[in-house]
Amino acid sequence: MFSFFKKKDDVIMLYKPVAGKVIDISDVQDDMFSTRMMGDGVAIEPEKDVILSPCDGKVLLIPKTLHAVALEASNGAEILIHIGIDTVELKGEGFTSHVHAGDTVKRGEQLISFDRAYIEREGKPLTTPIVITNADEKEIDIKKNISDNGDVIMELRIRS
Amino acid sequence: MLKETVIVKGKDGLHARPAAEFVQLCKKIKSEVRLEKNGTVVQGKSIIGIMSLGIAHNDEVTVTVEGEDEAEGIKAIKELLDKE
Repeated sequence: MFSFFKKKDDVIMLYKPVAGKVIDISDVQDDMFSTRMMGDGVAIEPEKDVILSPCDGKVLLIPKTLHAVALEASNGAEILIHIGIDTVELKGEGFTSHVHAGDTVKRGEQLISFDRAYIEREGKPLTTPIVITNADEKEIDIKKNISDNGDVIMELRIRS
Repeated sequence: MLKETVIVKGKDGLHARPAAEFVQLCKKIKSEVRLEKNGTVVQGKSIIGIMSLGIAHNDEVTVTVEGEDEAEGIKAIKELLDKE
C-alpha cells in the first residue's frame, strides 16, 4: 500500500533469456563458473537460438568473440551471460550480436543469436551461465529459481 | 601511489578466466587497483571492467595501486600479468 515510498529499483527480476532447463551455477561443467569465480547465478540449457535481455538495462560489454554479453540493471547489478562452454575458442564464428556496448535495452530484446549446429559440431556444450559479477560490492542478495516453473530465474535485492 | 606499465604475457590476454584470476587477486589487495589500456581506466576489482578492456596477448597496460599494501600489491599483479 505504501509502495509509493519504496525505491522502485530495489528489486530486479531476471527473466529467462532463452527457453530451456535451468540448473544451478555449481552444476556447470566448467570450474570457472561452477566455483563462482565469475559470480553466483544459474545456467540454462538453451532450446532456442537467440539470447534475449533478462531485464531492462544497459549493455556494458560484448567481446569481439561475440560469445557473451554483460548488462547493467537499473539497480547497478552487473549480469554476465556467457553462451556455451569454452566458446571463446570459436573466435566469433557462429555468433551474431544485435546490440552494442552502451545500448539501452528492454527486457525481451534480442542480444545475440547463435548457430547451434556449428557450435555443436565444434564440440562445445551450449550450457549458458548467467551470473551476477558484482553481488559482493553492491551487496546484492540473489534468490534463484532452479525449477521449470515460471519465467523468473533470479530475484536481485539490494541489502538495506 | 605506485604506477607501472607492463606487457601482458598470457597467451589469451585477459579474457574471462585470466580476468577472473586477476580480479580475485585484486580483491585480496586492500589498496585500490586501476588498470589502463589506451587511455581507458577501469577498476581492478571489476570483472566486467577488466573484460571490457579486451586485453590481448602482448598488450601494454598501466597498473596503478594506491593504498596501505601498494608495494606488495603491485608486485603480485606484475607477477600475474607476466605469466605466460
